[in-house]
Amino acid sequence: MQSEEFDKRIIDAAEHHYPAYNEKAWSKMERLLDKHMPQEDKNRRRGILFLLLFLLLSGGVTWYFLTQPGNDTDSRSIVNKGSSSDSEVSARVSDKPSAGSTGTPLNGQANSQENPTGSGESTTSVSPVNLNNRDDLGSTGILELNSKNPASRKKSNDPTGINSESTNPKTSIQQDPIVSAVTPGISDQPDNQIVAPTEPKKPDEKLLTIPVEEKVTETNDVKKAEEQPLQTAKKTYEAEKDRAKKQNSLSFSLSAGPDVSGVGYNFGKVQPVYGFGLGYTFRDRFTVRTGLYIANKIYTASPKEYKPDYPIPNFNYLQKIDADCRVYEIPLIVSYNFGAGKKHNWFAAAGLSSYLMKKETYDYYYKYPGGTTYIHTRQINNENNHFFSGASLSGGYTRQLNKTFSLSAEPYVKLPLSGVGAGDIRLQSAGLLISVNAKLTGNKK
Amino acid sequence: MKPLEHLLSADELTYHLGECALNKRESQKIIYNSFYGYAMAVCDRYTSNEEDAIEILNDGFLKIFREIHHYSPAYADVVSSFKGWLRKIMVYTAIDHFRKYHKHKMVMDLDQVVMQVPSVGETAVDKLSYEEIIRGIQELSPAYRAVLNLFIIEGLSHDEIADKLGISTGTSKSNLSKARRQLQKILFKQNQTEAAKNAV
Repeated sequence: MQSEEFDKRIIDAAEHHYPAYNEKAWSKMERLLDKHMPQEDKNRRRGILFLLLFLLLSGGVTWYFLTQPGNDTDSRSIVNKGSSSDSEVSARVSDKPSAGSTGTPLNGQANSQENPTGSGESTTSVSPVNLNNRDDLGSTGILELNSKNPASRKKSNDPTGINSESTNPKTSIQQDPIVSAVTPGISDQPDNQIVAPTEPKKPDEKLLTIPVEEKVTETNDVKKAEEQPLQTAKKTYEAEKDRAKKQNSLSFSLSAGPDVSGVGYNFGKVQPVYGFGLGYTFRDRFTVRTGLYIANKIYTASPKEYKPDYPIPNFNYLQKIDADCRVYEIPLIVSYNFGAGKKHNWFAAAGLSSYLMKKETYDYYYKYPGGTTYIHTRQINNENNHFFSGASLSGGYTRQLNKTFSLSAEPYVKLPLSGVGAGDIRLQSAGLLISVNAKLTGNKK
Repeated sequence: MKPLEHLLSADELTYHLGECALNKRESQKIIYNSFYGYAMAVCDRYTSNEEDAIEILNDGFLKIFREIHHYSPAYADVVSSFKGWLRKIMVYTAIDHFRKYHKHKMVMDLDQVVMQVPSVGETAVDKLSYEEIIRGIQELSPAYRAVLNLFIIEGLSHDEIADKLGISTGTSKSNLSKARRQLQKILFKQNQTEAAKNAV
């Protein structure tokens, strides 16, 4: 009895014992926690994630520009054209008849030696022959007269007086108008007989004369002939480049539409989604888009589907979790424009989405043995960000309203690549995005 | 002063427990401060000084924060359920502490009685305050203190005590008997001292 009373007193004493709070106790506890349960540096993790994202984007942009079709083909085409033009010029050169190549007699019909440039210049003049210098005439007595220089004699066995050397146009400057001073009578007759010289025949200007300026012009023409295809090619290239530039365009869009989210086959309430986007179109075919879209994701998850990085308290009695999450979505999408026509366009798109969980509200529904139910609400703000955690698939139709504005309708499906939110939920979404697009740069057809 | 733990509602406690599972310092501090008094009341009965009591307390809370993701309440009252779990953890931590530092002192000879004093009557014990009783418990030898706490206050059986402390059932019973006697003597001495002070 005594001991029972004594024990009861001890129990009462223990139940009514409230030690005073010792402020140093928490400091010691904190040190213990830092030692055994250190906290993660989220900022560092975020920094690493942003760095990786930056490297990924830089690499993607660099790869894109490196694989762009460059100037090589164009320059090659220019070279090719240039070479063809060179062959043309050479052909023209070879086809051009030369002064003496035809063997036309001086007094005969001559092929008209037209100036390739059509200038028709002729600068030849003939000086009178000085018969006192008959010794210089030689056997044939061919006297070559240079229009600019004093008469120079050139011995030749060619009775026609046409020197084969005169066939080369480039050396034709030295090829002077040839005046044959051959008089059959001079050699056959004795010296004491003087035969009146016949008037030297005027050479056929067209046949014999090769104007100096004409020859210089020929060279210039050749050069011009060589340059013309090059210039044409350059112009073509520039035109193509300009056209390509006009096919690239930057656009801005405002979007809104209905969105529904869920886990597995269990979808929640339809909620509005709205936001803006920026897109860059290449050659009217490919468009890269990004933007910011805001939506409330409302869904219900079972305890099996709700997988936080910690097992939650009272888990055995958890029935379901209702979630209402305000999400900022940043997509990175590439779409292909089938380009049915100027006014309308069908497109297909695929990409990745990043989710910033701005506000997460979870209602945990408990049911205890005995039937007691209990709802616990938990709210998390700006805690969870998930980069490239969703895959986006969509297709749509764009209708051009005018040169600048267009309207598009884009049904989409978003599939989870990883879990999102506090519960690491494999969230999927579907919806329809109606957008008004404005072309900011590029050709406004 | 109202114990701090009553300031936390069931919702708040559940929320902070969830945050503690995520190793959030703020929530850990709130839980620690809220249940400090309750936990300390358990711990300082197993030690003779505040420093050792804080050591047991902090080791106990460390276990709690580590294992919080395994915790699920046994019944609907979340606060009471958590307090029960907390108390159990603190007791086990105190036992571990005792086994680490005082195991060799589990058995004491009957001859090693501190002093021969007359048994203390009911009226004398009644006059003692709760704090004095707790102080008296703190002055017990470690072996007696452990058995007395586990048997009388925690309600464990001698078999359970023997299993926890690594002793025989007989030793547990023997130590309990001796613990009662020693506590009575300590309390008597305190009473005598108080009476002498009052007389002055």
